Amino acid sequence: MVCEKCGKRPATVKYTQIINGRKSSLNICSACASQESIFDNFGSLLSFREREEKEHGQCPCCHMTLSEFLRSGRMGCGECYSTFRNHADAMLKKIHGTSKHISEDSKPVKEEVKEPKSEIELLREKLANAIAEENFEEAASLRDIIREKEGK
Amino acid sequence: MNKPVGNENDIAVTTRIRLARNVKGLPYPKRMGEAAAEKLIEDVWAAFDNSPLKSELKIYDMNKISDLEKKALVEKHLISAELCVSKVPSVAIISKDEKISIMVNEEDHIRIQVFEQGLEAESAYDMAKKIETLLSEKLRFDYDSEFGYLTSCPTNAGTGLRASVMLHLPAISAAHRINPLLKWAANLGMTVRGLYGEGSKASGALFQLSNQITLGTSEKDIISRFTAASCSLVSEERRICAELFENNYCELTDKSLRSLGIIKNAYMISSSEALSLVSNVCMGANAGIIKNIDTPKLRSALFSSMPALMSLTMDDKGDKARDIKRAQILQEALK
Repeated sequence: MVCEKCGKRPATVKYTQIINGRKSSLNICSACASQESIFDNFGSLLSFREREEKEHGQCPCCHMTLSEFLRSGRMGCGECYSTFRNHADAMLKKIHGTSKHISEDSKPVKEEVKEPKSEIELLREKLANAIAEENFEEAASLRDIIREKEGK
Repeated sequence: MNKPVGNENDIAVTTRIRLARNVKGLPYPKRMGEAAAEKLIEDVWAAFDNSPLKSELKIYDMNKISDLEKKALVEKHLISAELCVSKVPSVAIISKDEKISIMVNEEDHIRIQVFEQGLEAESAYDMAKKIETLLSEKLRFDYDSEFGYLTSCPTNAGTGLRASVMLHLPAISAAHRINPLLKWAANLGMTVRGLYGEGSKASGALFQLSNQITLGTSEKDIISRFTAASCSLVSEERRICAELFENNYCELTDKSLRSLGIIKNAYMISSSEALSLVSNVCMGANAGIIKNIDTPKLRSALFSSMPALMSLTMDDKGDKARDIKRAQILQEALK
């Protein structure tokens, strides 16, 4: 069996962890095992929690972790919907058959309305992308167009 | 007491509209701090400052009122049991006529509830929306352009709107037709559950129909589908009632008249007996056997004679005294 982590070396270590009755196994090579420093953490619940938070995220507002959310099915705050967006989306679809809110009259009074992006903003975004992709020819022509438009 | 009026009020007892809202940037009550919870209560109360509604409203602090008072509010369906055990300071803001109840710091920050007699979802929703608009002038509600209004439990997200109606379905229960109705309701995105009893075995044949889906359909759509589903249940109850009486005329006529006789003459009536007696009398009235009785009035007498509510008005004088008083209350409603 090939290591499930690097996919190169043969797997020599079977690593099993059980958290809250949920068992997960990983077949990895000894090099990956030491890199992961799994065995340093073994037995320490706190570091399992830290690992989980690192891998799956934790809500910056109310500090709810993904596993807490999945266990309780409840959000800790509105920010959780963004933090665990994919999971929230799947859960809403399961409950309501959709995750897309439709409303005729429930637009909140104080919702900030985003202005549609101006032409210049769109061009600037394109310019940034062109520079990032090192497409300097396109970048130069975009720069000229922007200058021309700003000059007006 | 005013005579209750409302659509289909021979079968539909009360309609409740609930809107769940949360304030942006604040953890939900289960994870929020005490100071933030108190601040929120102040803000919600202050939102009514310039409204004529304020003089109609009274605030009930869950940390200050007695357990009996809480129980009585729960029995009247004005507050939930969850509000009573909230970890942070929580209140209910209730109007004098008990048509409006706003729970603060229950599962969500704010739950606006509006009650109407009979089946009146549309007007109740309009009122709830008015209160929501008033609150939104002071508070910024958490709204996501994709998911809609965000709530602690994803089952309420989107519109945050739950419409429910308490239905008195003695014929459907007597004919053991409740289980097919549960399936029928589920197909329509609705749920039916028994009141004053476990699951489908609701004593007194009282059931609650509510919309299960709160996201992906507009508020207007939810209200109109809910009303349509309620109306079909009401007509199903009438149909089955007529059918039952056609097949067992003597037995059912006897049962409903006998129940009426007991209510009129008994000295003591227990709460569970009252539930079933009133059920039988209402069925007789729906079938046209018993005439000249005000069934909505009889039912509201029944609800006001539930144990905690009675203990509250009687300083808890014990079961026997309550049963005697209950018989008197029901007899009064028949006059």
